[in-house]
Amino acid sequence: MIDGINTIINLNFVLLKIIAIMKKMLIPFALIVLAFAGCSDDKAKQEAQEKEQEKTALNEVIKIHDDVMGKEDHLMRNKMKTDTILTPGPLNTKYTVVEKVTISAVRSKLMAADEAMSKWMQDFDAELKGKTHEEKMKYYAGQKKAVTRIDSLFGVVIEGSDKYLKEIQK
Amino acid sequence: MLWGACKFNDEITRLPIAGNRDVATKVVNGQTVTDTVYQTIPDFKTVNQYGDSIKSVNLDDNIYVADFFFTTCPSICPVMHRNMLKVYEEFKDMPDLKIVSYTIDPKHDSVAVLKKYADKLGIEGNRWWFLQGKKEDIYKLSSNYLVTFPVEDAKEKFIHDGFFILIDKQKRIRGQYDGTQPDSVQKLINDIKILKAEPEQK
Repeated sequence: MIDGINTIINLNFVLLKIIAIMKKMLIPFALIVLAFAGCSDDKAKQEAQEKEQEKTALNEVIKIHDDVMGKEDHLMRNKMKTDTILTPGPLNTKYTVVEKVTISAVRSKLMAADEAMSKWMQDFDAELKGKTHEEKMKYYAGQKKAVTRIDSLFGVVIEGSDKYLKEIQK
Repeated sequence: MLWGACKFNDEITRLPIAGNRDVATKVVNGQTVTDTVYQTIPDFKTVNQYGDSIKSVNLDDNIYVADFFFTTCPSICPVMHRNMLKVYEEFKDMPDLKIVSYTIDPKHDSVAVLKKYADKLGIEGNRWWFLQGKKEDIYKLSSNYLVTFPVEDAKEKFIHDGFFILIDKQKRIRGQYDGTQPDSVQKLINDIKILKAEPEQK
C-alpha cells in the first residue's frame, strides 16, 4: 500500500512537472501560433490586394478595347465606301486616277488598322493561367500600351478617311 | 429599349414592328387598299459551325433572335451569350425558334473555331447557329438589324453594343434588347411568347 501511495505521489509529481513545463511552453507556443495566424492573415490580405490590382489593370485594357470596338463600325463603313469607289462601275468612273490611287491608299490604311486590332484580339490572353502576379501586371501594362497605340491608329485613319471621302464626294 | 406590346382592334396583344416602312396601294377584290410595307432583313450568305451554308431562306417560318459577336471578345460577348443561353433553354422545345449569332471577326472565327465555341457553350443541333460571312457583308447586314426605334431615338446603334434583335416569321424586326442586361433578356423571353401568340406567327 505504501508503494501504491508512493507511486501515486510520484505520478502526481511527474504530472505537476509536465504541467509546469507546458505552462512554460504555453506562451511561446501561443506566440508561434499567433505569428503563423498573423502571417496567414497577411498573406491572404496580400493575395486579395494583388487580385484587385490585376482586376483593375485588366479592366483598363478592356475599356480601351471597347473604345476601339466602338470605332470599328465607323472604320468598316469608311472601308466599304472605298470598296464601292474602287469597284468598276458607274460610280467608279466619276473619280480621277489620282483620286482612285489615293482612295486605294486610304483603304489600305483602314484595312491595316482593322487587321492590327483583329490580331491583338486573337493574341490577347485575359486569363494568364499559371502566371505570377508580377508577370500578370507586366503583361497587362504592355497590352494597355499596345491597344492604346491601336486606338490612336484608329483615330488617325478614321479622321483621314472621313476627310478625304468628304473631299472627293461626287 | 423597352417597347410596350400593343393591343389592336382584334384584341390580340402584338409587338410593335420596327424599321423603315412604306405605304403601298394594291387592288383587292376590285377595291384599292393601302397597306404598310415594313423593312425586312435582307438575304445573306454565311456558313454555320457545322460548315453548312446558311442563308435567309434557312430561317423561313422561324422566329429568331440575332446578335453580333466574336469568339475572342473579352468583354461583353461572354455576358451576352450567358444570357442568350437562358433564351436557348427557355425555348428548347419550340421547333420554330432559332438563334443566330454572326461573328464580326471571320478571319479568326473559322468554322472550326465556331464549333469549338458552340461546344464550350453546350450547344448541339440546329437551334443556335454561329455564322461566319464576309466581314463587310456582316457589317452591312447589321445596319438592317440595328435600326433606331422609335425613329425619333437619335442614339445610333453599333454592332458591338450587345443587342439581341427579335425577328418574326416575315423577317420584320419586332424588338431590340440589351443582351448584357438580365431584365432586358427576360423581356425578350416574354416578348417571344407574345409574338408566338400572334396569328401570323403560328
